[in-house]
Amino acid sequence: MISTEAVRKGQIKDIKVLIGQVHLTRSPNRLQSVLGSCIGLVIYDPEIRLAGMAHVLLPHAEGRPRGMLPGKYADHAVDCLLESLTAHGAARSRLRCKFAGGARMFDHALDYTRDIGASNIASVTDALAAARIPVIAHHVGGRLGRRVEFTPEDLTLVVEDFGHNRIEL
Amino acid sequence: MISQIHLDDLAASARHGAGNAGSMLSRWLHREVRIEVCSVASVRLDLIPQEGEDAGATTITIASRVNGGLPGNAAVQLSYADATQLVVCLGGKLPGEEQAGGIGEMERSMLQETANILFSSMMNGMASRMDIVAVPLAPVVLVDVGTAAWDALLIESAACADDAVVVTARIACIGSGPTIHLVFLPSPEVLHAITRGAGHD
Repeated sequence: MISTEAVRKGQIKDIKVLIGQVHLTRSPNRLQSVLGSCIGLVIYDPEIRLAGMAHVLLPHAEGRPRGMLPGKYADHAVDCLLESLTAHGAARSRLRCKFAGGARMFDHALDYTRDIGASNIASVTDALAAARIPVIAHHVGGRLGRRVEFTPEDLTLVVEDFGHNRIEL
Repeated sequence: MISQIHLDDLAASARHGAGNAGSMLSRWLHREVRIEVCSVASVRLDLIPQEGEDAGATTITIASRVNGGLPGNAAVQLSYADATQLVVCLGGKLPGEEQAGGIGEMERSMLQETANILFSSMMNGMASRMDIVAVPLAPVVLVDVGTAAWDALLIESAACADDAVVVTARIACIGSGPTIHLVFLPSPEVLHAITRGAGHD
């Protein structure tokens, strides 16, 4: 367990991963995000405690270039995380994944969104399978937003929903 | 790509809309209000300022799809404290933030009706200056964590670009009362129409 004192003293950085962003960090820092229909996708190397998180907004790039937000599409996000992690010393064969999100926030109220959460879950799952990255745990779907926090030190992804249900993956 | 001159045109319409929305809110709440901010800017998706950026906060988002000549997504964002003040102005009461999931039907309707009034007045004010008609649909109330609602609101813009045109109006009651953050994200198709048809090319 990381003490709040260590965070306050600046020994540990909490890195916020915003829409479409990809961030990498090592222990003892932590990666955090707030998700609705988006997916918080974490790929990590357990041996060197290096992890990356992408905040995935949409399912498929469909040939569009990566642009300024490499985590915006599920397929780009997986590629970007693999490239960045291996460039920083992770071994491809050791990489593992945990992810959360993909809620159905507005139901049919905003028609154009369809069930984008479900599409995001399916695309992330497909992209990980294609890249042969084992999924260790996930917490997806439902109708509530989530706060997520990944701690490379102990490799836990803590998921807390609006109802204050807290799950450790 | 939308140019600054088109953004300025849109901003003039937005100010007209925000003025309308402010007057309507003032009548609805029986309080004087001031427009704190009214801006139109093209902003990268991850940098759009949002209510509830403190990840632990409860945020109330009331969203509506806008159809007609000015399509897009409109949203009212409220911190839980502002939502509580708003409901009090209308004679209701919200539970404490830890019980926010249990907001009553009557209070939900108050929030929904406030957004309905704001969307209609803002969008019609904007659209009439552009000589078009905007049709906001019935708003939906979402009580959730921090910025979670934004994922769905940004999808349409995000599918076309890494940035979005964001119309923002911040309306505050003078003295006591809530501050309301009103946001409109025009559909990319209407932005294309504006850049093609505004005569500034």
